[in-house]
Amino acid sequence: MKIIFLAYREWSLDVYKSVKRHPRVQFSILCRTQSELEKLNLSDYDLIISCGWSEELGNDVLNKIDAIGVHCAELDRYSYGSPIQLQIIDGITRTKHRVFSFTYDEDSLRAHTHNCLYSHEVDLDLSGNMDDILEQMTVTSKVLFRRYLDDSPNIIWKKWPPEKIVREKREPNDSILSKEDVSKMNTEELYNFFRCLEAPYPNGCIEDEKGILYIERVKYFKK
Amino acid sequence: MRVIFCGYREWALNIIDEIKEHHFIESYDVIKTKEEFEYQIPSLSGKVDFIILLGWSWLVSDVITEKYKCIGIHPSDLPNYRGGSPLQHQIIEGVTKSKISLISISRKIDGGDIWMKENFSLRGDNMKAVFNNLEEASVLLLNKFFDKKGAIVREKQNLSEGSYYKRRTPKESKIELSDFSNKSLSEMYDFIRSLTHPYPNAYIEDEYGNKLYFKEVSFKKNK
Repeated sequence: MKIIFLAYREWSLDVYKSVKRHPRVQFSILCRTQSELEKLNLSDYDLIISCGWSEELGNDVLNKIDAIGVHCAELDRYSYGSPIQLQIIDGITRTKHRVFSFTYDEDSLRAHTHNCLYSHEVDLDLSGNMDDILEQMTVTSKVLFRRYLDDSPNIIWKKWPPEKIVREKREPNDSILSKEDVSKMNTEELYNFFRCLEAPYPNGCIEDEKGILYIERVKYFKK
Repeated sequence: MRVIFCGYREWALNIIDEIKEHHFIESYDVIKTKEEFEYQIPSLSGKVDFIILLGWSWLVSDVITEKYKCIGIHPSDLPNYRGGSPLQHQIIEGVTKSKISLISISRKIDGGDIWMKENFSLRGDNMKAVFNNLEEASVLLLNKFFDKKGAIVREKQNLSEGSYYKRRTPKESKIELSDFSNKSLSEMYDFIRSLTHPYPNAYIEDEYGNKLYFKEVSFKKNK
């Protein structure tokens, strides 16, 4: 199997090392940017594996080659971008990491359009700091892609129920709290807000007329 | 000159590492624990020019201060901020430009004669940055001290002036949620950064005993 691996985030680049060593992978190439992908002759490859990729693949790509990816949510929920942040802010501490197949629909608001099908899933714990979560996602992504390659080409696709709630991708301004916002939040809500915006994401902050206080790292002790 | 350095904290040991190479220091010893101090100092033989204490937490007996020239660095512009937690008290009160003072160790806590002072910045997002400033200022001061072979006119402190503070306790690291409304974010930044590692971090505690600790922060002033 000849594979194109799409990744640019630190946590996802480590996954490539594991995927390219899988016995079913005869040849693989890593693309860190969309322009690197566009330069490839897709007919020379069998599969695109996308890991933490944020750009749409589009029909130009998906009409020529199959593509799979991993998404860190119990899809169809949280499929519109910023899934980690939105789940943590909603108080979710246990979720799924799933392999899904890409489709393309230019009218869709979702981060990755898909046909509501997943092949493999593992549990993902969202209770720690961002570095804990991303470290875990490196490992779960390795497991998911290796299981997919183990089972390929006899993949059993399972359908998930569609959800009508639209949870829009977070914007940079969503990371700013006013003093009034802070006074209305409890300790756990503040913890969830700040921890989900730790590095490598733009930090959560509080703003007043004189400046911005960035909360870069927090810890929570639950009695 | 023969010098005995006493210190155990990382920043103190870094200062000793830098300064021990001064060309007027012919021999030196480093004492890192109270036990070593109590065992070795009374049994010292031969001439000792100075015992220099850096970040030393334990009282030195009159017997020793009368027999040897015992001097130490206190991280404030004495007689201001004598006593405990001088770094925290200054930062919390908004001091950014301070001095370190080289003083005789005496029965009066931080009340001995002043030998020299050196400028010292209290800026930095965390205590690691402040300790780096402290190291730089201390090396500069001690180099000047040894350049003069310790032949410096001492100045008595006027202890009716200045200020004295008690050592902070971990409970004083607590922030009330209402502080975010009642204080400026710049004040909150100073409070939190002064209590970053290795000190008991600033925290919010709710009525159930759950605690949110602030481990790292930064602040950007509005233009």
